[in-house]
Amino acid sequence: MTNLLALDDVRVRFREHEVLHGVGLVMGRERIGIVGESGAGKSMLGRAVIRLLPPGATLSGIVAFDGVTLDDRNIGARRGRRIALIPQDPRFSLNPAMTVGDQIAEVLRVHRRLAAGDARRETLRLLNSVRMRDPELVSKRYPHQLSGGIGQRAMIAMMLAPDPDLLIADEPTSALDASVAGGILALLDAEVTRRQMGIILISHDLDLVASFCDRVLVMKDGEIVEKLRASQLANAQHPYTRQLLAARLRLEK
Amino acid sequence: MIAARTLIARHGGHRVIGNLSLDVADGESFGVVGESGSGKSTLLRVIAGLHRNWSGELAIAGQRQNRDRPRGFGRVVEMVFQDPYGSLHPRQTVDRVLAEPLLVQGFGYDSSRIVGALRDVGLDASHRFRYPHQLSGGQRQRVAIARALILRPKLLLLDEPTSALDASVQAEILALLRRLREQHGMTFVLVSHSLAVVTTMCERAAVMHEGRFVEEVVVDDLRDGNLRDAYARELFAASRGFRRAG
Repeated sequence: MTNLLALDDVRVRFREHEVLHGVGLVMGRERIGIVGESGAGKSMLGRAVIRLLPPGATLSGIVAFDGVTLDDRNIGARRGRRIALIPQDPRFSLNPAMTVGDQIAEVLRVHRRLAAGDARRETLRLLNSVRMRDPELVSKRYPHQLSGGIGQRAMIAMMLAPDPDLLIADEPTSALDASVAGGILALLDAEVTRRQMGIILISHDLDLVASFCDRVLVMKDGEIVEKLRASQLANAQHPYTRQLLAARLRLEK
Repeated sequence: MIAARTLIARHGGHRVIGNLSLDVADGESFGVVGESGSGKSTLLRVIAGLHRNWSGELAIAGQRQNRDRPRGFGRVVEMVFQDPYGSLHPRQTVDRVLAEPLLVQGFGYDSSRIVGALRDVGLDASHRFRYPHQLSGGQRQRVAIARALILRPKLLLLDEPTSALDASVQAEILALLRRLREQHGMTFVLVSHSLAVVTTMCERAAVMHEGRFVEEVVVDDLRDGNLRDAYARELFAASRGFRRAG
């Protein structure tokens, strides 16, 4: 069996300043959580996988997806199609000048080569599948007319449209209220299971990652400092992981 | 410290606080939890005198308040905002930021008070002539707290003081606030979306939803989920975090 994703010595550099220092990771169709504080390089790692780095960044090392080493030429056929990224705040990532329905239909026409009428019907079906109460109405809305939770559901519908194998979710609920975040996570949980996808969940929230994922990678200053099973998080050895665990505010005493 | 009756606040024609009563005793730490749009920040801004479109009765430290606050109000009530990146002037040094309240309230520039205020929040003289962009997020929030405390206010209003900060920095800032409150005997009103922050910092709390307090409790009840109101229970359940289905 080939691995779904394998990273070897992945580095990201801005001129002489290195922000990701040789990261390695091998994963199948499983749930990997990446935790760490701001500046740890979590998002940079997610973006390095799909080669979508900020201007001025250089990438080195090997990223292999489904047995193929990714490069600037072959990433286009996979990014969005087989590897999808769900960002933190959909209102900044959706096209502000296009209705939600048109954006999802465009994804379907490009990645699944559907005709316009089929794309429209499939769009409504997808919006319905992310438990949107009124798919027809939402499809006619522009992103700024949506609440955070509805926008994130629309984003998830759009990212799942090409039926990807790997989902990279970068703090998918950090911009949302707790009562809304729960529904989004339950939706992601159900879809990842149903579609047998791999997922990389990037989050600053240890408790969330521990309950959502199978394995957890702890990052600090551009390096993975500890890898462990999610169920073993409480027994973490690395001082930084212990520090993160200690800094959590618990509702319970 | 605060007594409010039939408080109503509007944004344009929209009522964001509806008929609210609030009592906070001297020296108490009172928390308000709620989600975005619940009106919790507007409530703090009404108390601080920053939001003017309100009606009802409001007394602070025994003084009845109108829309315009009396001279010297800034010595009694100060506020710390959520985002330390947005609340400090980007082109003023820490020294200038801390001098401002002294000058406005007629105390004049006082070097020793500025250094003292920095020391109070765990910074030293080496931070005094830096600009905000030369400080970390946690250091900036310490400066914002130093600015709020330099006049030794009786009442400190805290609007999501740690939401923009990493967990380890949040723990430091909350510990700092607890220590300063004890040292100076201040009253706190703290607004947060996080039940955990409120239960860590406060003795009593209200759950706010659509401009009202749907429930007021001692924090032990908030921590244990001893709540009667349906929305408050829902918020409590959501705050306990995600549980995987499979």
